[in-house]
Amino acid sequence: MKRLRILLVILLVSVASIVEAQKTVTGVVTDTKGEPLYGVTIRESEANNSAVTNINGQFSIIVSNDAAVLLFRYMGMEPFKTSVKGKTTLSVKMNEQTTTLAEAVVVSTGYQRLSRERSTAAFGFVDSTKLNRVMHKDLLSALEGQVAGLRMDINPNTGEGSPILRGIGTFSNNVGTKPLIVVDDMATNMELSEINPYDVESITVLKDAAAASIYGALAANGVIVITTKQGKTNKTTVSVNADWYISTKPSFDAMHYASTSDIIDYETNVYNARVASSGSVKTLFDTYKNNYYSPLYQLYRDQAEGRISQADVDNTLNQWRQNDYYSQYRDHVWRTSITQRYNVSLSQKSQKSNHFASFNYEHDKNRIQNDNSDAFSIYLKSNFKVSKWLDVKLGIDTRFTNSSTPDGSYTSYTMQERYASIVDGQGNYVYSPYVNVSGYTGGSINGSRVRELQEQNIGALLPYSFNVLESLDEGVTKNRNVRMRPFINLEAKFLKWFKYNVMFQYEWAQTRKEQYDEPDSYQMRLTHNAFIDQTTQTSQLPEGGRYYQQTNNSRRYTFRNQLNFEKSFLDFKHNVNAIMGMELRENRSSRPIEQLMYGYNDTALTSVRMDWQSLYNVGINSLVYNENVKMSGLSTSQSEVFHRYASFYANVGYNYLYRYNLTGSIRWDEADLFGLDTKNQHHPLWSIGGGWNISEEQFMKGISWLDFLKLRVTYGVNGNVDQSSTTYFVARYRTEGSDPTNSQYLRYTDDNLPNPKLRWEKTSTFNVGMDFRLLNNLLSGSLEFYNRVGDDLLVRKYLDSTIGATSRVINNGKMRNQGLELSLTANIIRTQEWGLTATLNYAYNKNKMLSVEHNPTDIASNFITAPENYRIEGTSYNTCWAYRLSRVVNGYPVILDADGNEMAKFDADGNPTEVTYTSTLKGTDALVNMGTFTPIHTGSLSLNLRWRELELNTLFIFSGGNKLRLDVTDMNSYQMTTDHVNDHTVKHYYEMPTGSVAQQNASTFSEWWRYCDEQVRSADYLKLRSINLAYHLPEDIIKKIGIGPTRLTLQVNNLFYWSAAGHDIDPESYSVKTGTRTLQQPKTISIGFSTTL
Amino acid sequence: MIRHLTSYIILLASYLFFFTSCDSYIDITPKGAVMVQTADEYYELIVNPMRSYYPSPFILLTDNQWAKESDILGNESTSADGINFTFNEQADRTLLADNNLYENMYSFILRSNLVIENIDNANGPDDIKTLAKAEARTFRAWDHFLAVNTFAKAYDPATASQDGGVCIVNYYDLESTPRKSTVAEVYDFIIRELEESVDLLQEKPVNIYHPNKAFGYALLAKVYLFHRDWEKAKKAAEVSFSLNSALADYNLIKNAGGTVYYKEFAKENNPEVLSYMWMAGWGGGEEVCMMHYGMISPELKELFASNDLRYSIFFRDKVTATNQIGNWFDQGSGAAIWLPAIKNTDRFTYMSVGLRTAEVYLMLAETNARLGDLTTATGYINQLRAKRLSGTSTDISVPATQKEMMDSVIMERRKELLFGFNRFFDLKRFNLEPDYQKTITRKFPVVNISETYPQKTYTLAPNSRLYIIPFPRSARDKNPNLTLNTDE
Repeated sequence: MKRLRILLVILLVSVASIVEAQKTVTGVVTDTKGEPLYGVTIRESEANNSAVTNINGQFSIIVSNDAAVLLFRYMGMEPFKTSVKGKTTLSVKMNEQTTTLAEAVVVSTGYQRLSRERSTAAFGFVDSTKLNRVMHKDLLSALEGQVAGLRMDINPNTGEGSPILRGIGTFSNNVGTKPLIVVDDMATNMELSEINPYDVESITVLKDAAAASIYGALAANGVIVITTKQGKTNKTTVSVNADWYISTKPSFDAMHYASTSDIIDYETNVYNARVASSGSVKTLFDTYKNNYYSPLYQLYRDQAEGRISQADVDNTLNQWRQNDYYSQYRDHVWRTSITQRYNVSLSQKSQKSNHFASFNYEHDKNRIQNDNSDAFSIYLKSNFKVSKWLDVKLGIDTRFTNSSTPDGSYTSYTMQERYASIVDGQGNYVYSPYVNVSGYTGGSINGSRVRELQEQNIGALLPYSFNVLESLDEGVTKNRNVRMRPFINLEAKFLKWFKYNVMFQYEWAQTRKEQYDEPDSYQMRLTHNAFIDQTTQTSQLPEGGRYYQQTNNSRRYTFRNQLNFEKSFLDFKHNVNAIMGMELRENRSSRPIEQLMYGYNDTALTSVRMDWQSLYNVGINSLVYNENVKMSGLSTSQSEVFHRYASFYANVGYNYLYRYNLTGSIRWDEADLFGLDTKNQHHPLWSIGGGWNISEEQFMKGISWLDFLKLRVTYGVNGNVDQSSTTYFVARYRTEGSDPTNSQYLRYTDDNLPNPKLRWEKTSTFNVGMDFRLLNNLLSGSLEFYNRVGDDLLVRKYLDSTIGATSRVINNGKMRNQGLELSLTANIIRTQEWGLTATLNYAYNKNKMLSVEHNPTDIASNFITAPENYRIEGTSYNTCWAYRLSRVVNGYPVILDADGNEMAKFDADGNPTEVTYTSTLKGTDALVNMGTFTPIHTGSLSLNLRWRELELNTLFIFSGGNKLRLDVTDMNSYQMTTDHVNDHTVKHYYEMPTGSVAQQNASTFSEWWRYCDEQVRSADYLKLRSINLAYHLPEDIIKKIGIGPTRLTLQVNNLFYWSAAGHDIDPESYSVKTGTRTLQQPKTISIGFSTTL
Repeated sequence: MIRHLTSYIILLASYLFFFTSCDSYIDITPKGAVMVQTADEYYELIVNPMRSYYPSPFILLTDNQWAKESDILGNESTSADGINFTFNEQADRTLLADNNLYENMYSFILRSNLVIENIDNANGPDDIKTLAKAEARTFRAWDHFLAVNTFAKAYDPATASQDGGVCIVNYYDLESTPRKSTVAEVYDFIIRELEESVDLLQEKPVNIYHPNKAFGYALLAKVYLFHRDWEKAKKAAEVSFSLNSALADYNLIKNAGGTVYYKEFAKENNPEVLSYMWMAGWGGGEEVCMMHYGMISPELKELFASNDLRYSIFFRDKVTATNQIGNWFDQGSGAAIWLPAIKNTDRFTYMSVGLRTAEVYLMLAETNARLGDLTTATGYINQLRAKRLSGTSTDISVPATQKEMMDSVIMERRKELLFGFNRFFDLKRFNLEPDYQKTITRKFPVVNISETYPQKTYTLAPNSRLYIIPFPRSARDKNPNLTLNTDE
């Protein structure tokens, strides 16, 4: 603990200076509401004297003469000038600059609040006005485009984003890319989407090491600090918000689906080709055994077996050609999804206390019927001034969510063939004789088998008929989740300059899940039939439903002790603030509670005791499947997570004359034994930084167009914890199934072997930044450059197997992210009636893997399909590798190997005679590096136009510099649903000669075509994320009614996009690596109403 | 004053808090995993039911084995099976995809090294530590023995000190680059390890996966035998024999109607098993791969006398609906296949890799024969045959010459020690002796003859380089010391 003593010494360092005997003026600066302003700069005109207000708004300045004029400046406030003639105390009220955007003034790092002018770090700052200017379903989407360098990685299937700050900095999946989320000064497990945006006062994104290294081994991915609201005025303020989000049904247009008729023709062609190459109809269908194949195949099989005539086939096909399952699904299963949200918040402030309370209710009616959810959240926070020296803050944040989700087997519109139908012309349900669903055991089944079984007249057999509208309410999963976060913070002031904080936060979350399948549901009918015994001809599955229940609990606490020191020396020339503290954290996920019952009666709440030993281990001889079928059951093992961390930290800031800033921070982290050996944990993570407020210098006074200019330089090291790696030798008791004696023994993998050299992942960041404000706030912004190097990253190293292990994860990786970030705000028009503000956030990020290893035997296709796991040193993470296309011969694409030889040979007619397996290509020698899948340029442009009571906001998102693959013809596909059925640039399976080398290698040709360099395009796109029109009720009206500011909003999301790739490809709803389309995010119309009382 | 007092109390309290040690706070062990720390835990680490070895690099080289033709045709130079079965000396085996055999052996060596290296610093009684180290050293010797006989030339007293062997890894260091030793050095190491350990082993350990003393001496005898120390081999085999000479009487199985009905030798109850080690392969541990490599050659099939229960109980040469062997077997090839039903260890435990007392009988016969005591040698053979053949006339008579005696021993070894490394190692060592060396010939294909695949006769010379398996590519790439022991 020697280091703590050193810290104390650092903390108490003071700098001597010379005192001059002149007049001293003291005073306090507040805003119009009487709130003290922290960080106001005060400068004497015509002289070099200046001061800054402390956290209580107080200041003291030495002036050169009695009649000196003082200039007060503060970001977001009108500059204020006053003479001190005859005065030694002043009380200054500053007016808000009406036309400016609220700029960050005091930012929170979670450990301390700092005036922006006194910090050296790179922050991104978003206040509640900015957050709520446009309507957002949750906080996550509210953050999109708000901070340069914070990018949302959008999942093409769900449309949901995950935040990534300044690029990907680690290879470890356990660490991930998620920034640390801090709410009310404490790190939390909560997701951004779980936080109510109306509770948020401001968000600070800590980008560089100077800002984030105080979080030590948690902060390599950056930190998002969320500060919640508190009472501002003596009056009780009530805010009411009501929002509706209406999402239309998505369109199939951009999917480029083929017509039903084309699909039938295509599948028929493939069927004929397959029959020809298998030799006979019987051999083809023998390969399927009892498994599912399409109704079209069934039709042809029935014809071949003489059950139906050619006329019957033609009739059925003509009927089918009229069907369109997808649009029926859209019409009957989907609905317009609506989210309603109501929020009421109250706040009050008095001399001795400050309270904030909010209640939020949200109801989601999702796209699929029966997919609903409700969420309630209550947030209470109070501050009490217990005595002159003691403040207590306590509160609780709770959230309850209930949701019901239909069985995933039925929620895809592709669950049945395009030529199937749901309802007929009269609106009656159309029943399919069977569908491609597997049940809980057994597997899917085909038409011939279903018919055979029906013909056998087995009493126990339940019908296989299916209609999706009937099954949508079967087996609905109900989730009930609770999350609670109580917290308390005691703050004691003593010895004038010291404050001591004790903070405690507890988080508890419970998720409960239950699923009930009715006895006559499709899944249960399938399962019941699968368990019909061959000999007894009765089902071994008890009669009744199936009930599954699972409960998970997790808890976490953080306990922090912190000592704060703040003092100005020698007439406010030297200002020192420092903190030191320690933190204990515990993270725990308990063993889940699970239960599974069969023969369940949902009314009586009873079930039948099952012979699991025989059904699970031995199984029965199934009549339906003609083979042994075993019951699937619950796992016999459990797992839990339990980790503890202890950290010590300190941070010192020194400021001279409000112009020069120096900061430094240091932190030690220790984790429990399953992380690191304690002796390897004592390497501190640290940062240093310097800032220079150039505009405060005497020599800059003459430049009138420059309001503010500051330069910042920081360097520091953050860390990452990967608790799955360990220094110690860890083994697990296992029973080996094939061991004749069934004994338990200690089993370990190569990665469990002791690794005494394991240490934290480290990320060092060098950051240079500049903040500026020009032309009386016409243009303001900041520019950052960073070089972020992740070192000692955990990455797999391949070993000489003679050592006894083939590979293991060690601290051997190195990855660099370099980037540039620009934030610009232009207040173009600022009149009483008109206002136009434009904000641009732009980020450039370039990634390079400096040290990483791959296994020389890894095949080329791994690098193509999973570049995030198969990496080449010197390239960027997520590199877009492609085969080199040589040419397309007679509809067959051919690629080149590493030596430039074609991988296939052709005869004179252009038919392939020999194909070299793609798996013989190792590494990336035969591949072309086309760039990266990760965007290099990202950002947003938002425009805010105001005219009297009307406000128009638009938000554009852009992203580019990366690549995507076009969606191409699947040459080996048996069922093709897209308009590629009519594309003959390359050959389809059925167009290849029967039984030829080409047909045998159709999947190889297809792979070459899909992944060749010709198919790679730019993924640049620009999207109008939202356009929003707000109407503020005129002041005279609201005064008459007796309410506060009131606003009505109408907003449309996803109205328009432009994409460089064309072909209706929206990179946000497109799997760029595989080149597959997903449904484009539908337009969302939002209506909002907000008022205050 | 009071206010100041409060301040000081806070300061003092915070000061004390900072200085409290946090090491105990973070000292937690979550459930679900074991941190191997105590001597008892290291001792348990020796238990490994998954001691299984992947046989594909060599198994089809022997005259005991046969293969399904569809696995070989077209793969004559591209797969280990294809090369080995057609004795293709021209093929470049260094380009073959890696197999797990080398990895298996050295990962088991690492397991032993973990015990040997760490147990002295662990908490626990000294007797456990001594025992654990002796057991781990025994196993470590065993794996080095398998490795040197697989990847290097068989021990030849004349050239062993020049012949390239394998790496001796007797330490735990994941960042080291082991050095290749000569065959002589590896044998010296193995013998020293075993001589210092076997006496410390227990006669009846708590778990069958710990090496017992009878196994230790049997292994020592086997190593001496391969090292050509006939006298020492005989003595060690006699110690093992004195500790366990039980044999499973196959007549009991036959009389009951087969292994399905007589399960007394199933699981851990086969009295003649000295150590539990398996051939690995398709789908995991134990003898699952018997399906793939469980076919014996027509030549071996013909060697079994009609009353030899080692054939009639376990092998079939006809596909029927009930035995379902069609997937792995070519009917009409003249070969026979180990009944897949046997893989169900509920019915019979056959040890393809681990040692059995039967092998000790055969080693005693061989050492006595080598030393000229043909009567004793014959006695051991006949004791074994009595439990393996049905009827009353199971004995062989004492042969006239040492060569004839040795031929009988070799013949009996072929029939008794099926699968695993047994025949492969025997061929390698006997091929060094002009009297006993053998050129293998094989006619193939037998069933699927076509224009593309005409029937040919393939031969394997006694000194073929194929008998030395090349080190896997991944190991050679990472370790420059691992030069090939052949001229490939």
